[in-house]
Amino acid sequence: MSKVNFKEQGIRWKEFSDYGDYQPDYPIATLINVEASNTIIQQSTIVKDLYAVEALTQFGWLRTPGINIDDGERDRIIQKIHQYRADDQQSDFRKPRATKIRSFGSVGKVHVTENVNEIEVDEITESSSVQWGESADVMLQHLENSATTDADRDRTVLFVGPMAFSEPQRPRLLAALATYIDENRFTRDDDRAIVVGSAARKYAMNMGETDFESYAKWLLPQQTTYLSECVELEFVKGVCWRLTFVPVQRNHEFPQLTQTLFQIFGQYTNSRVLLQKNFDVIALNAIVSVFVLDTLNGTSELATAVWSQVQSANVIWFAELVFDRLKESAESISHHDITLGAALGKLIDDRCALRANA
Amino acid sequence: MPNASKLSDVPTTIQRFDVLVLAPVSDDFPLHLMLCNENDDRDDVTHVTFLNIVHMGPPLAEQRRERFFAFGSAELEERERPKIGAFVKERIAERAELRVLAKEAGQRWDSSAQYRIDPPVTRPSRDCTYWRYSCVGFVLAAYKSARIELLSQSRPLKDLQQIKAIYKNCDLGSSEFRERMGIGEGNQWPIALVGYVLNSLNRLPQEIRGEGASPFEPVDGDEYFPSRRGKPSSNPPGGVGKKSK
Repeated sequence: MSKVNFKEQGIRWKEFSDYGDYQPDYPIATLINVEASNTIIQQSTIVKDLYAVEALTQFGWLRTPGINIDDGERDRIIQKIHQYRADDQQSDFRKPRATKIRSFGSVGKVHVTENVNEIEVDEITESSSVQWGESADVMLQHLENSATTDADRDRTVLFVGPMAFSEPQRPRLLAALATYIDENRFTRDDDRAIVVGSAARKYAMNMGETDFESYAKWLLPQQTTYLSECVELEFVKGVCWRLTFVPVQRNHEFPQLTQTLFQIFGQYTNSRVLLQKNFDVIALNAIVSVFVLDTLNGTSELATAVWSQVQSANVIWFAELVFDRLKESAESISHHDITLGAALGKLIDDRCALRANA
Repeated sequence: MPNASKLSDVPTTIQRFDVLVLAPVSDDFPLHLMLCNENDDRDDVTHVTFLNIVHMGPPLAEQRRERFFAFGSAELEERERPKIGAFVKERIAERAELRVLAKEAGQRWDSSAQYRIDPPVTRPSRDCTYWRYSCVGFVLAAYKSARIELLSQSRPLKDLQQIKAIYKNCDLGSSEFRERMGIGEGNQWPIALVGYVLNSLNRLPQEIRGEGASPFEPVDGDEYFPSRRGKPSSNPPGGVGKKSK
């Protein structure tokens, strides 16, 4: 089976042209590329690329080679392409439409009209110097280099999420991520908010105890702006994971972090707002964090107040979820800190006793 | 009554977060598992119906798919669904970046970084700040959040040859890739297979949840649906596995 070189096909649209000389080496993708090439591109109706790309994306074409690809998939994708075509022919296709093609700083507009089967795309001249699979050191250089474009910095932040960094590299990573978070945490751009969330989790999981209090400051709103809910979730999740999955040294106190998380929990744990948006999972992660921090401090006042409010919210499934998540956290902590895990387990059991007595 | 069966052209009712299985490559050996992500009950589902689903592809994604081979239902209760919903929301939120990566980085990015064959559920670490799952692991974790343990930790061991036959298109010849997938060391692994989950759901509700429930402990042959326990052809492909303890 021949493979398709997108450049040779003269495909202008970024989502294809960006693949450049990429030659898929697994059969389904190759078949789809051939289908896209023969059926769509060669008709010179480039607008129909949209159907192909949409269908390919819908069916996870960008997934890793081989996993979850069966012989029926090609047919399903091709069927989907045809379905998109058919749907569009019956739909409101007369008004010019614009679809954003984002490229972290490079935005192309796709204009589609009834009579003009063409796409106008802003030429994307930006070339990325960041490649998946580069070493941790090279990634750090991208992050630290002031000449790195915003697009490449975003891309690098996402790439470092599943990467390992050595102890000597860790301060550089944290400094670079802190700069990025400082500059972007209040963004209202959906894509960039996702990158900030990724940065927050990476930072949280790698930060030392001396960073906890400054991390808490990122969770605070300012006079005229506040964290979007998706960013707030990732910040809270990050610190919850840090407290649960990475050992915490006991010779520190974290009053600001504790208080901030307690406030966040309090804002969302009532039946009026709990079921909206992501507030239940933000509250859930804040609750677990407060319980762990209370245990670290050797106190139980905040945990008592938290559990009382969870009960007062009278959302039974949520209270059960909180209880289960707390138990799981105690078990996870026990893997690296038996004493802390046991103390948290006892605190949880004590709160449950309070509930039963109440 | 047991509630897992193959889909046909006879309409069936599927509910939110029921389990769906894609059509198998070979007869009755299901390969990919996902959760129904329809908001409302669907009583018109046949093997060719399009449904909203959420699954670990990879990447973890909400999509619309069709041509399902079978479904399984734990007959989820009203207060179990929001728990699974919270789980899915939490995971999708952190995986939203995968959408950006996929869109922006194209093939430069390898989504297998999010996937693990074994164990089926891997917690986040300093090095990898995601939960990682196999497609089965994602469903197991979702149901666990609703206090439903679908599978026992004790599962038949599969060797590399058998795993290669299941993950046919993966580069499992690469030791680096095997390492990332969690099967770098050792020569047999208790991987969680799709058929196990279907056969777990093919039990009485009281066996699946509640006081008398216990996780399903699969044996060789349960990789298939319906199970081929004790049948000569029940050792796919390449020999008999031993149980992990």
